[in-house]
Amino acid sequence: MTAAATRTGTSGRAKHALSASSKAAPEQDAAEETAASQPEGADEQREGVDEPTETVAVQPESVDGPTEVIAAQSESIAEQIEPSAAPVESVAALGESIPELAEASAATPKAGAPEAKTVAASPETGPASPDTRDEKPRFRIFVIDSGWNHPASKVLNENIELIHALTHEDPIYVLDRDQSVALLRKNKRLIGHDPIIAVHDLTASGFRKHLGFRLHLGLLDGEADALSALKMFARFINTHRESQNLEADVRRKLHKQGMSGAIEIVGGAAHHVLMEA
Amino acid sequence: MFDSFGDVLGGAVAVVAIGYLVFEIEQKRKKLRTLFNVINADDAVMFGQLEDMVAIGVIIPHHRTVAA
Repeated sequence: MTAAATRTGTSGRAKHALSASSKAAPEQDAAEETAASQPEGADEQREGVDEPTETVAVQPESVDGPTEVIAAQSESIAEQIEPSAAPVESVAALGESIPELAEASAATPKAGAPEAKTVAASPETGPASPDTRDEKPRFRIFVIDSGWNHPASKVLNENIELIHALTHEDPIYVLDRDQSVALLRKNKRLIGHDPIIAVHDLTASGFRKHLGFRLHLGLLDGEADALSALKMFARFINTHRESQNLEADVRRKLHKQGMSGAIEIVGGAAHHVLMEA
Repeated sequence: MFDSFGDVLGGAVAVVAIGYLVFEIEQKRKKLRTLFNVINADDAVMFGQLEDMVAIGVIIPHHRTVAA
């Protein structure tokens, strides 16, 4: 569901709730008066209206004695909200510029899958599942795939949920095809290397702003190799979440540097050894 | 230095074998570095762009869907 659709639905509900609330008793509409006195800025209205909606929704409908003043205020707010909800494009653009809005839209379950529930894996969106850990994210994981008809893409798509389950402390950002293409056009030397899994270490500080590592799955020809690399990635990122020097671990464990690495390579089982390490 | 042709040949074969071994090790390491590497200067540019996309909300965290 797009951010636009989410905001449109929310605004519609807000309008309906506010209209219904105009029939409530004056003493119960004290909260609405607060809502009615919200600032006139579009964003501030959205923030202010969403909260009273929850309060108004539980008020009994049997209470009579509508207050005309409150009704007029409610209508006024509804009219002010409506223009911001009608143009879908403008709300979509708003969603692109407001991270919280985008996250809220992502947290909304998809209408096409009523029997499934969406688990917010990102700590930024709060725990939504009993298995969500309270640990702070160490990494941000980005998946860039421009959609080559490549075995690695197939393997990645088939296993992204598992990767997510294994690394659910860390948010995974999956770029869609257009976003991936746009990014690759800015980084032309990476064209053909995708699918790319880029891991940003959030503990980076000091003069090095960006720490982390990346996996160029697109360089692997077969599904088996891609799957092995994906397993290696999942194992490495889980076993080195607490690492003090991630880059050194990458060089030692993944590049097979040093004599022990050379011996593993000579043994002809670098991949297997990596998997068993 | 070498008493016989056999010693010379043996030494040469050993040098070639060790050289091949080193070459193969470096090839494999190079392949691993290409496949799986830490962020270098070029990658840092891309990571900066990705972080910018996160900051402005263009990309949002993937949500795992599980059966109810």
